[in-house]
Amino acid sequence: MTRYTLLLLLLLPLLFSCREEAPSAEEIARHIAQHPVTYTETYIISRNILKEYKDKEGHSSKAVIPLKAKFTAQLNLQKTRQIVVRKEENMVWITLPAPEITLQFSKQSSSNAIYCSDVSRSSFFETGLDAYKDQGRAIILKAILAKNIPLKLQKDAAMTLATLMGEARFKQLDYTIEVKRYSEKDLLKLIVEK
Amino acid sequence: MRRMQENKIDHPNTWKDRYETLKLFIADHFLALIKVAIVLMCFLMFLAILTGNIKSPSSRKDASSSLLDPHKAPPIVKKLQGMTQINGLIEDREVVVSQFKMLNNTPKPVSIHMQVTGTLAIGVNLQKRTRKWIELVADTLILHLPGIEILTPDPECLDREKEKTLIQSGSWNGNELSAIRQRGVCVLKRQSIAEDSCFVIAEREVRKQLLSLIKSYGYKYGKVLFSGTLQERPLIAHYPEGAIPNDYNFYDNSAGEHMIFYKNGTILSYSDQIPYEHIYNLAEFTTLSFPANTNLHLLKAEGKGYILKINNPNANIKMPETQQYINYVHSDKEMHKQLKKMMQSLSQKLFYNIPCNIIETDTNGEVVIDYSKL
Repeated sequence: MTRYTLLLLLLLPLLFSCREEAPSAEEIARHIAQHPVTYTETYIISRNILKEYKDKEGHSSKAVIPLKAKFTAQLNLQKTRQIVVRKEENMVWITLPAPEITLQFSKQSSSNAIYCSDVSRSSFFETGLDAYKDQGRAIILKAILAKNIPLKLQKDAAMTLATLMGEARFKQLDYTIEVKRYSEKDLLKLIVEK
Repeated sequence: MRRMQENKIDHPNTWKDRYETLKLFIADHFLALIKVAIVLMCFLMFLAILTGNIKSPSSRKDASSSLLDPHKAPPIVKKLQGMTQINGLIEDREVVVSQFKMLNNTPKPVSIHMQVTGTLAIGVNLQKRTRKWIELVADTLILHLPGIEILTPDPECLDREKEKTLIQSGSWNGNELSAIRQRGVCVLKRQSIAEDSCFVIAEREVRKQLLSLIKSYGYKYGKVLFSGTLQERPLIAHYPEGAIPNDYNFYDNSAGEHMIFYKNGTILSYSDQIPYEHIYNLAEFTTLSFPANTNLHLLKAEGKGYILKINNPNANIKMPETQQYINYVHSDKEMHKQLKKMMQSLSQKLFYNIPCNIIETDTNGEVVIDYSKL
């Protein structure tokens, strides 16, 4: 009898060691970072500014100045420091990092303009194209904000996280992935112009 | 056993006695305990292999051949099989389409300049993949994918609500406006293909996304290959049949031609109806002066890339006849040199910035860009 008791005593710790403990918040963050998924959305946005010109005789002419920008939004799950994981008992909240957004405007040139009538270029661009820079920037930013790209990226990332957390050890917990809706103001702060 | 019997403690009441008993038990059953431990470990490993946490060498070998087996396919295959397309780049553009027409009772042509807005997704259509689109070679997962293309179907790419007429003279009927819209789609495509090396950017982005995905599924290395070389991909968007009205017959051909009109460094006002992106760059390419109404004509050569032809009909702008080409190229060495330079710049601007060789032909004053040597 004593022998069996001893054998059981030896086996019990072994059996208990096989049962996995629920992961801590740090472990969850590390687990996410081990899967280097990057979500990227790249856009080329082109918008036109319409410039109207009236000559001395009152004839109206128009020119279109095309403006173009490359816009890239990226959400990187590898950046552990930016992923916030909170855990209370069996509940886990994961907040995704803010996307990195870069915006690059193409150089403007008066030769890019389209003339809707036979008027010499000098009539239109006596002040140079710099005068349209701010106007163009505002138009392009408006187009970007309308697309709500950060939300789309966060949703894609959340889908992947749901798969990652479905793995055996992490399955025991209940997860909430927090997707942040960025206001126009917040988004403008995130945009880095190159 | 004998030793245990000799030192038998009948009633191990104290902790010391229990310790002594354990010591004796271990000493006597040492081999048996090791056997039990080995059996237990084997059992646990078997369980781990069974649940998929550890892969045996044989199963790793099998994985390569069973990647596409519906029952054994790994998660990444299932994930990719569930996807229909991957967007590399999204083009959101406003373009201006201009159209001119001559009316019988007016000396000057009437015109309409319409701004159309459209969105094109450029990427890879995963539905076009071949049977053996995925393979595992050692530690590398290789994806064989179809080439990069414009994914948005033609009718869906234009946003009719944002359509705007900038300037208009004369009256334009529904059919004419519909033709202009169709040409708007072409202009959008043309810009996407020709400007900014959009296909190259899209390819780079799709590759980046897929490699990131491959790594996230635990594969050490990944490789993404696209079918079709740059030469095989469409360099110039073709106008669909009926998109160009018959009275502008210089567009009316199906050979993938592209017309560029150029006059002493400025744009010919009557030729505004061609996509402007190819015009405005032209001044950057050359300082050459051409006689009035000289057209530069770029057309696709059969199997040889693109041919530049120079045409001076000294008349109205019409579809140039072959015999009307004037041999500028060989009449002046300096001009020949300049033209070659210009073609080099043109090809770099228009065709993905890929380097190309220019070879010369001695017929019809053509300069041929040879893509076959790339």
